[in-house]
Amino acid sequence: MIEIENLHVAVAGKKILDGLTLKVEDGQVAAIMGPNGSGKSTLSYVVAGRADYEVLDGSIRLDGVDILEKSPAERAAMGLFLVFQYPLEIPGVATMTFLKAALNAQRKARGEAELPTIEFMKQVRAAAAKLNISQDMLKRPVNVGFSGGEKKRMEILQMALLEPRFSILDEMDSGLDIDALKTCAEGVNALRGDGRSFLVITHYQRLLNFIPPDVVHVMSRGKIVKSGGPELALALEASGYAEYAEGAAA
Amino acid sequence: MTGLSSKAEEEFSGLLPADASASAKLFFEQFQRAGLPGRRVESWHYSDLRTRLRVVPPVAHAPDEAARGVARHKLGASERLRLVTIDGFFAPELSDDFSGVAGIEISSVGEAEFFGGAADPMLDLNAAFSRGGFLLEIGVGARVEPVIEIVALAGAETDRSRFGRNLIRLGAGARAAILETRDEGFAGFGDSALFIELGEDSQLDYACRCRETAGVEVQTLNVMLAARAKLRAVSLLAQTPFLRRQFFVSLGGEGAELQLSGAAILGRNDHADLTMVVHHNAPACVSRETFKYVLGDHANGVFQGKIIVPPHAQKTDGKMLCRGLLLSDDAAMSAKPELEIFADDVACGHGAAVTKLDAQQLFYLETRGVPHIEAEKILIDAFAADVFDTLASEGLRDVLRQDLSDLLGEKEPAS
Amino acid sequence: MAAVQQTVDTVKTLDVDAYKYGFTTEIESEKAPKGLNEEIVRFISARKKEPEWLTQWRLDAFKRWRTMEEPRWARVDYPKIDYQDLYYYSAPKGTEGPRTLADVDPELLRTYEKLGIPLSEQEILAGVQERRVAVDAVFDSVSVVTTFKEELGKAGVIFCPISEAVQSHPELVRKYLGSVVPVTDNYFATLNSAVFSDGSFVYVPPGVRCPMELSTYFRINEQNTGQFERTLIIADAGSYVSYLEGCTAPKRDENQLHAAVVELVALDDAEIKYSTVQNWYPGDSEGRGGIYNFVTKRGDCRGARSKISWTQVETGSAITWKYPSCILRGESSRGEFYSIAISNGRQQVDSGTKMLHLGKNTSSRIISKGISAGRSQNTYRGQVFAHRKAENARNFTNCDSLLIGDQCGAHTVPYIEAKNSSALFEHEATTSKISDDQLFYCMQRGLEPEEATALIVNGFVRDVLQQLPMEFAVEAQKLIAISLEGSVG
Ligand SMILES: Nc1ncnc2c1ncn2[C@@H]1O[C@H](COP(=O)(O)OP(=O)(O)OP(=O)(O)O)[C@@H](O)[C@H]1O
Ligand SMILES: [Mg+2]
Repeated sequence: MIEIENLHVAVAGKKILDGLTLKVEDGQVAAIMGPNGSGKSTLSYVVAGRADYEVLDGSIRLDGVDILEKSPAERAAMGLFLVFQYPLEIPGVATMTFLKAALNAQRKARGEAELPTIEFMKQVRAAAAKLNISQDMLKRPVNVGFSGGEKKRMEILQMALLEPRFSILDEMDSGLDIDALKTCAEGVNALRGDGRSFLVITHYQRLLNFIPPDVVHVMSRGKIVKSGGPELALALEASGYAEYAEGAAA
Repeated sequence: MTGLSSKAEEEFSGLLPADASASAKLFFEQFQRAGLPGRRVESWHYSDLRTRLRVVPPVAHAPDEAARGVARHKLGASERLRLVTIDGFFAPELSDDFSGVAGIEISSVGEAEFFGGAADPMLDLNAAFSRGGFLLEIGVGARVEPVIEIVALAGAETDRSRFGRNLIRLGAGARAAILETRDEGFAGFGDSALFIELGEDSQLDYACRCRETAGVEVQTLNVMLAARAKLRAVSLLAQTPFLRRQFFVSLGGEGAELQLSGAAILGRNDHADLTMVVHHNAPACVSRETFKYVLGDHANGVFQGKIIVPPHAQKTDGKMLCRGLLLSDDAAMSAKPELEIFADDVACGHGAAVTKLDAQQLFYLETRGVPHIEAEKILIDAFAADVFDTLASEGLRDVLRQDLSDLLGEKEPAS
Repeated sequence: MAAVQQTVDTVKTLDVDAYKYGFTTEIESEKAPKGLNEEIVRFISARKKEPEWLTQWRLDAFKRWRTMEEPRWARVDYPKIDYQDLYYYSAPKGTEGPRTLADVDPELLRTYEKLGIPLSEQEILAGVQERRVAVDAVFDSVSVVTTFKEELGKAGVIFCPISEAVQSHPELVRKYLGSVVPVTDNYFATLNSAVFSDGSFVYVPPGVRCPMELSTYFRINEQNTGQFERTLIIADAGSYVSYLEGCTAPKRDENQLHAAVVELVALDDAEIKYSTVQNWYPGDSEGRGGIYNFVTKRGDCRGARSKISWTQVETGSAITWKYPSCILRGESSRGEFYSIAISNGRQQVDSGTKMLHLGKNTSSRIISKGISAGRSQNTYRGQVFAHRKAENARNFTNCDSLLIGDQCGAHTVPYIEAKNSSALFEHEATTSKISDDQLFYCMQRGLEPEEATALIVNGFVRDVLQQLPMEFAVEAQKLIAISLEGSVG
């Protein structure tokens, strides 16, 4: 379970999150929708622990533990995973090396033994096959020269391997063609259950058709301005954000 | 010309044996005329040997039984075929027996027998003092599969001046992979020379790992490539109190190819200077120089590269890249990538960058659960290791990769 | 495609005679005796009615100079200069003291007219409307006239010959002269300090944006005469000034020495933009004659957030030895260097810049485009340095060389020195020739080889041309085409 309370965050002296409160229960899929620049990516970065974000007030708790003082790696070891809106390219670092380092670091942090290489390779290959990721892609450096859609698939591959308890998907659907969207959504859905929860950031109902949410939140100007059931997303698709933008300005 | 002679120069003069050969004396005079290079000599500006070398240790003798004992102890066992030198002298007693390997010929040389190479005072000094190196020949058309290792060890237990001088020669069409391990310990002064001559269509993979170089050390490599010869050379440097490793390469035949790369992983007060002059002396040659520096503590990295293209070397393709990663505020990097071009139909370029670790990449790794220090090591490893990829020999690549990962394992976490 | 057409037109209108500024002006002049000694230094100082401190300053420089050696590290080659065989002072008769246009010898006015430099205050530089440029015209060793002085005066801007500033604003001159380029800096700067004759002085008071472009036009006319001008520009806090410099000289068979010093000082938030179109006589195709251009130019970003930007188009001179530099001392200050250096015939160029990052958050940018043709040698030499304390220093360097013909040389010698882990330096360089494919494509569309070459070269240097003020950009474009004449065979 993740609980965010009254979160105020500034970047480079500019206030971006303005008293945001949000709770995602175990096993829940929550969607966040909101206009460009409302602070959705900022929220995901702050939860993941990126530097340069000044938390002015509020708290973030993962399963009851305050994580604000924890490093990004410690948060990851607690089961937090972020699908980046713009996944990074890391020249020179082989994808396999990267995956192995991540998996073993997390296992180690949880007091589990390292995965034998053969077992590791098997798992990666299986996951890659499901996501239509070629062996050739696995041989290249992390995300280098990948298309936008390939990068997203690589993100989902990592998620499948690391089996996080809590995932934030920041515009997972952007850059994906319709088939890839389906494949990736299946990857996400395969992890559903077992008390895993998801925070799905998107602009489009289409993604939510594939990953049906339990709740939908609308975010505007750094806070949640409305929450509701799946029908809220459909309403937004029809009417846009105008109502909320004005409401926030008033 | 450096004006007044330094104390070290005078000491060298005293060390040259009275019965030195005429040619040794000639080389010494040449050295004396130029003097010990220092910061006022443009090509030595960043490595002030004149100031660093205050006292000249006694010249090392040919190894005796005690010296061989010391070296043998350090040598340990290996599966590779090895050629061992002690204090710069070829030591057949410690080397493997190559007589069973087809296409390899090894012989001892006395006083400097092979000359040529660049006009460089330290090379002249080496020619004046060197005694007893080896000549390693790979015959015409021979394909030597196993990696041959050259191990340079110390025998003397006190400070010595060492002047190793060896020659590797590949006949036309020959192929080989050679690993050089330089491990002479931190003591003393070193001024070594390695000559590499590649016949037409031959190919050599050459990797050198320099660890624990002498207090003050200069290594000079003279490389000549005939038509269509290929050299892929990588140097991995670490723990170098004061090292200048210089390459003088002549691409002498049409279509020759050079891949010259290296990585320097430095900390403490290490100083490593990689200097290269690549002469495209024939048309349509290709050269790639790629060097990476990882600099922590008070380390000082120096890169000097010069590509020279005379008028007749049309269709030259030369590219040079140097990148420095500064991990500490006390570390420093100087780079001077030069192009000297007199032919018009060429494609030459160089790039140089000095940076720190990329904060975004670190964060990305950390969100995947990799602790900060680990993440740094992964990025540093990736930064440096890609220079090994130029080697065709899988065996050599593996050795260097392992070395690099050992080095990073030992590394103190960067602050 | 308008730009392309324009370039083509420009190239078509080229003069047959490559160097069109090579005429001489017949005018009586007053010279100091040939040679250099303490007496000559005193003579120059006396001619300018200088205060005692300045005479002494010159004498100290002269003493120092006699102990120095000519620098030899640059990739240029020329016979030994006989410093005793030169005139160090030459002035057209009747040019003492401040003057207005009405006092200027009509022969001189005609000279500047022929050079395309309008000295009348109503006119404007060729081809450009409604832009006024104030001009300080320096002829051999003296300034003959400075225009728009009054109007500039209203804004508080001081723009006058430095010899005049010594009289009218001694406190400013004394405070800043030699504060960027010390008397002892290098052989040629020290020589200049001893014998400098004239040059421009600019002071822009706090908060003032200089109402027009300022420019100095240098002309060497006399035979066997060195020109040693000295320029000093001070931009006080929050001010802005754009300054242009142009140079020409007659065709002469012997070499002439030009050893100038330019000092710029930018205080807090001030900005100085300094542009040069250097078109000194380059010598003939056999390498006879031409100017030795040995110049020390340096800007000091002394104040926080100050900015100095050098733009140069170097087409002239037999030998160029010149490194306009920036000392980035003030926090968050910025230095820029944009250069086009073209060499043809037997010209030798060794030019570049230094960016010395001393303060925090300082940044710099270097764009250098070298073009060598004929039998010329063209070297870029540049240093980028970050001090230990220069946190977050940033530099981006791009230097490209183009070779036209197979008898010339293009060389690149960068020195990159970082002593700070937060420094970020990036350097790129390429050397290539004009691609046959590009040439073919242009020619297939009907361009002659020379037109095609000029077109491609203009594309190659575009990044830098864009940095020039409009009127200079047009002139520079023409110049580039002229300089490359005869280079395509
Ligand atoms: N480092 C930064 N410096 C200054 N402003 C920033 C910084 N990072 C984010 N912002 C600003 O914060 C606001 C929120 O950005 P954020 O990326 O969180 O929006 P978003 O809701 O994810 O938008 P989108 O739907 O376009 O992805 C934007 O106005 C953005 O410009
Ligand atoms: Mg976003």
